[in-house]
Amino acid sequence: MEPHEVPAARGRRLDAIHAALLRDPAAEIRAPRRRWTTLGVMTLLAVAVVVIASLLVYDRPAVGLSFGIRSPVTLLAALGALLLLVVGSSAIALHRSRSGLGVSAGTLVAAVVLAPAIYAAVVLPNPVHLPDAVPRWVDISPWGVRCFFIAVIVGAIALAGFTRILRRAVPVATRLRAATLGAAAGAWSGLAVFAFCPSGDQHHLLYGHVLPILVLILLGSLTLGSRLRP
Amino acid sequence: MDAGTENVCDLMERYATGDECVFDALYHALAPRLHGFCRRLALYRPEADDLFQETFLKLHRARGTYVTGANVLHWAYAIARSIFLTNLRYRRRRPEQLGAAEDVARQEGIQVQDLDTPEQELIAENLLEVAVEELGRMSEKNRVAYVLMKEEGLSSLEAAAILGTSPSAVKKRAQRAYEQLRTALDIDEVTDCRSNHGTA
Repeated sequence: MEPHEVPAARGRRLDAIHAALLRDPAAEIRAPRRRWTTLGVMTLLAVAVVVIASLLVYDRPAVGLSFGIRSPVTLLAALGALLLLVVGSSAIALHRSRSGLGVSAGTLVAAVVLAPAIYAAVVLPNPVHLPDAVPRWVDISPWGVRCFFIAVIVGAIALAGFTRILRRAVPVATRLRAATLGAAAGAWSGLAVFAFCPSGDQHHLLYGHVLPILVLILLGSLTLGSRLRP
Repeated sequence: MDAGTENVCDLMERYATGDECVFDALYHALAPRLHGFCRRLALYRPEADDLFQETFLKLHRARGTYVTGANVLHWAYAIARSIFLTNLRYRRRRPEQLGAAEDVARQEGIQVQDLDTPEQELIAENLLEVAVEELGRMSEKNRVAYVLMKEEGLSSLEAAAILGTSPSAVKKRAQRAYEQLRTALDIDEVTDCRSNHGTA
């Protein structure tokens, strides 16, 4: 049942493709440094958002890393785990593999499920911050509206950067990959609000810090597909 | 990776860095198998031709994303399937009545090899027709898994990478397609025998 290609027909098709290519706007050629430049810009922007928001709200940068901490060891352990989560989830989401078709679907599913689960396991059961150690001059909502907003801003920056890196590069399992990018962006947003917010209230942490990760996963899977497909 | 595949990869590598001159060579290296794959995906020739052309356009637009050393043909298959699925979803959302199109099997593309007697040729043609019809009837997932593994000779790992699923799932799909085809061919043979006995 091997289909045979007729050379004349192949020549006609080549002409048609040539004509179509002439009408097509110039395609991008390879830019090896784009990935690292984009990641660098993303990091700078995320840090800028956290610093500016901290200065506006708390009058000092990264309050979450210095105010009302249970112990420095707990803080370092949680910070290390969250940094690993950011690096690991981003690496899985952006990895192209030798085939150029990305990591396996199983790995992508694992990343989507585990990223919010690991984040919740790090921040929720034993919060790094004391529940009553909130700065007196700031009112922190138990619904975490401010944190949710900042998390979504940082997550959107990360999603935009990831999309730029993988634009037109994902022909396989596109929606799943988009959801994984959302999970990785969620990890970035989680780290950002961890550095920004000194709250140890579990209700606040659940709605303001963990929920945005799920929102970003949903956002990624629903909006990025068409940009990632070739 | 064999020498031919390496050569295509080199061509794609040059094309990815902006060398437009290699496009024709790349096209001639990829076209026969890619067009065959498109015809298996789309079943009807005009649709397959459109899919083939669109695959090359997308490959052109996405050339900057090519990973050095990756198998270009597998990458092109993945792009073709991605386009096919997008078109399929679009058509499902906006169904339209298409005009009658000739089946691929009846086109010049698929031909039965020369056989000794006209009777053998007729039987082979009939079997081929049944097989192609059955391929069109089965689910897209099973059909593509079957085509990649049984016709294109890819390993389950390679086919899984193209289809974005696990190797065991691909094997199961290809097996299901194979069994469906075998059942159809068996039924057809039985029907032929009965009609021959009836006429005799």
